[in-house]
Order: sequence, then structure tokens, then C-alpha cells
Amino acid sequence: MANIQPELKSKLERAPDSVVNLIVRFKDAPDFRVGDVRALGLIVRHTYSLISAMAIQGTASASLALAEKPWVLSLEEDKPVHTMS
Amino acid sequence: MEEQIPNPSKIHPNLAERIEPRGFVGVVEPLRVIVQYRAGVVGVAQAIQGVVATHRTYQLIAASAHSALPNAINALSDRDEVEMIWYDEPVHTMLDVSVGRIGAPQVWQQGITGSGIKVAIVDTGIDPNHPDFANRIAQMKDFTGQGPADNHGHGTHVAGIIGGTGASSGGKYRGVAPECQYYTAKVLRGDGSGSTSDVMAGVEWAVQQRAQVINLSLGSDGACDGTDALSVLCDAAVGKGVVMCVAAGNAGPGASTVGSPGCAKSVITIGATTKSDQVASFCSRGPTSDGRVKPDVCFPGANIVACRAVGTSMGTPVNQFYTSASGTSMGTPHAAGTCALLLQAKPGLSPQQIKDLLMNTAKNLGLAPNTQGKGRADAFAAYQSALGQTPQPPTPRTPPGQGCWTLIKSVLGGR
Repeated sequence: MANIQPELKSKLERAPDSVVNLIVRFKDAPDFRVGDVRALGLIVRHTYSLISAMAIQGTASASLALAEKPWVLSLEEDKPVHTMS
Repeated sequence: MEEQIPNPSKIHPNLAERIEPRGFVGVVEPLRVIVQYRAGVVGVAQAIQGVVATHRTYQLIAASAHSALPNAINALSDRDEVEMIWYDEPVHTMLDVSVGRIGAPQVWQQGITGSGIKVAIVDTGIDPNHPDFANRIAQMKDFTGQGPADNHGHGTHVAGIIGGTGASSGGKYRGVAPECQYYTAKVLRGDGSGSTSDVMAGVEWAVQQRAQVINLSLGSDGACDGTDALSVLCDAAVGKGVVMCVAAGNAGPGASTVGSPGCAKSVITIGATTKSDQVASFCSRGPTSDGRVKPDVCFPGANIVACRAVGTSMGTPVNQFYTSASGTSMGTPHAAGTCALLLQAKPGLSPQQIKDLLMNTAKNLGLAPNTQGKGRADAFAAYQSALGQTPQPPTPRTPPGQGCWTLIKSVLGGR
């Protein structure tokens, strides 16, 4: 299974139908995996090129299914950010 | 409450101009005031209806600081025990002071103003019509769906510190690199918040625009070890040759309070100092979750007056064009502007070389590394070091133009 914080994993397992925003990092180029991710019912919100990563949206259960894929490196929450003033 | 007739001789002009005219109909807000009494008299103001709070009582002179409604101020002015009532002026660190503190004007004297250096600001956008940025905004990009213009004020303030010309202030509020080129990515909405994924998209866009310096005066809460996606992406940007200046955060003074992306390994993580060269109490402290020292270096970040976006009221507005704000958000653009100066002075400097220059020439404030990094940076010392000259030891300068009243308040121990 991909690297995923235990707190996030528990949160996804507790509410499998909830919609979540996540950042996924891959072991290979993300362009290769757009179709695979969409096949799980997830929406690709952004694909990055500086690092092999993608911003996705979808159900917690689909996200957990994604985490099981051998080509996924890690899943993390798309955390809120704010100004520092 | 019956309308009180004021005694104008006891209401200082700086307060009188803030009191609404008699007969004013609307929301009446309390004003911050300082009341001076005849010698030996105390406690008069507290007994007046409409004096809503007492903030401080002074010992050197018979005086006290309050919040009071206009009618109460008028009533106070009619009391024999009261000698004078002043408006409790907010105290600002003018941009000319903070920019002077880090030695930027001495770099300008060498003909180095950041000219042609591409600086990206990943923030709340920018006010494209602010006179201080005229003809220097190369690109604006929106990732929020709200349009690229700044509807919060933070990004415009940051831009002013980096390189505002001071055109709206007769050159007084000039930023660190007043001839740099701006690239702005709006990733934070009008409420000042956004998502990590949009920040990542904004940084990536800035790299694609061939920005040489990227300013990130933002972050998320919680300690981190630099392995989260945003931190890794920022490190990748540095790997592409881009200097990344990132705010340490405002979760101090507790230890291990630097969040992402301030915890990223290769970025320059910026703490904030006050006008007296102390590390601001709000500044986040290291170490990171994996034990690395952060912040790397500090820049002025307390009560900085810089550009105000039209239609916004972030911070404490000074006038139509400028507002005052505090935070590591304000220290970070001082760093970004300094990096632009160094890149113009010596093109080809790598991000690591610039980071080393800032850290190795900083003034040691004598604090713990996880509080101050290497200390408060000095742009001129870094410039001299970049050119192989022997930097003079950075010396604190007495801020000019602080004004008599500020001095009096300082002696009194006021804010």
C-alpha cells in the first residue's frame, strides 16, 4: 500500500462515501496514470510536472482503492493554506 | 446619552479630526486615546460613561490609555482634572525604515535595483493599477476562479515590500528591489485562504514563466518534515535554479511550529524581526519534525507599511495607497527583494549560493538557531560578499523619522 498517514487512512475508512481532495504522488510520470485514476471514478484536478504528482477529488473509498495500486507512492490531504500575516 | 460639548483646547488635533462631527448619524466606534491629567490625579476616565476600556496606566506622567466613545472624549475634555487627550496613534515600521535596516539603499547606490529580475509572488494576486507597480507586472495568473486581481490585500502588500517604487508616497515607501518584474499567481482567495494543490500549481506556473525568485508568504498549520508534496515541489523548483523564499509561519513562540512549505529543505525559510532587531514572538520556531534547524534567516516583519490594494482593508490602512501589516509574510518579501538585488549584481548565482550569502552575512542576534536562524539578514553585506568584497559588520541603524510622539510613547512603555 502507498505511504499514507494513519490519521488520513482512518478518516477515509470511517466515511467511505465522503468526497475528499487529495494529492497523490506516483512512482512514475503522472501523465501515464491519468486514465488509471479516472477509471477508479476519481477526478483529476491538476497534474504537476515539477514532481510526479496529481491533485484529485473523489470518494474516500475510491481513494483507498487508489492507495492500493503499486504505482502510487503516497497520498496526502490537500490541506488548507493561508497567508502568514 | 446627552451630547457633550467638547473643550477643543484639550483635544489634540490628531484626535479632533477623528471625532465625528456633532449630529453625526451612523455607527459610532470607540477610539483609542491617551488622557493626561493634572499631577496627582488618576482614575478620572474610568468614571466617565462611554469609556469602554482602560488599557494602560502610566507612572512617569499622570496619564492612562483608553478606548472611548466620542461623547465620552468630549465629556473628559470638559473635566478640570484633564489636561490633554491625544489619539493613540498606531506605531508603524515604515518601509523606508525596514528597507534601510537591511541595507538595501546602499545596494541601490551601486546601481543595483533588481532591474529585469523576474520575481513571482504566489499569493492573493496583486492590484494591477497600483501606481507603485506601473509597467512592471509582466504576467498575472489566477488559480482561484476569482480573477487575478487582489481582493484581499495580502499579495499587494507583499509585492510592495519586494519592489514597490514608492510612487504614491514620494518615494518614501519604496520596496527592496524597485525595478524588478512581477509575475503573480493568485492561489489564495479573497479570504486569504486556499489549497495546497493550488499553491503547487502556482509555483509550477512561476517556474514555467522562468521566474528567478518565488515568494511564498503562506503555508499550512502543523509541524512537518519536508516530505509533503508542496515541500518536495518547492525543493524541485530550487533544483531548477529558482530561489524560493518561504515564510516560517506565525505559530511561535513554541518550538517545532514551522509548517509546510517552510520546512522544505532547499528553500530559504524566513523569520520575522521587530524594529529593535528582536525575533518577533509570533515567528514560528524550529526544529522541523526531522530535526533540522529553521528558520534559516530573519528579515523585518513587524508593523510594515507597504502597498494597499484598492478596495481592501487588510492590516491597518494608513491611507488610500498603503497599509501596515505584520507577520513572517512581511519578512519573506524583504528576502525575495534582496535575492533579486543579488541576482542582478551577480547573475548566475545558484539558489544555494544566495542562501549561503544571506545566512553567512546575517547579523547574529545572539538567539538560538531555531529562533533566529543565522540572524537578521543584511542585503548590503550579502552584496559585498557576493562580489568578493569584505562586508562591514552589519550595524543596527536608528530608524529615522520616528517622531516625537512615538518617542514619548516608547519612554512611557506604550505599545
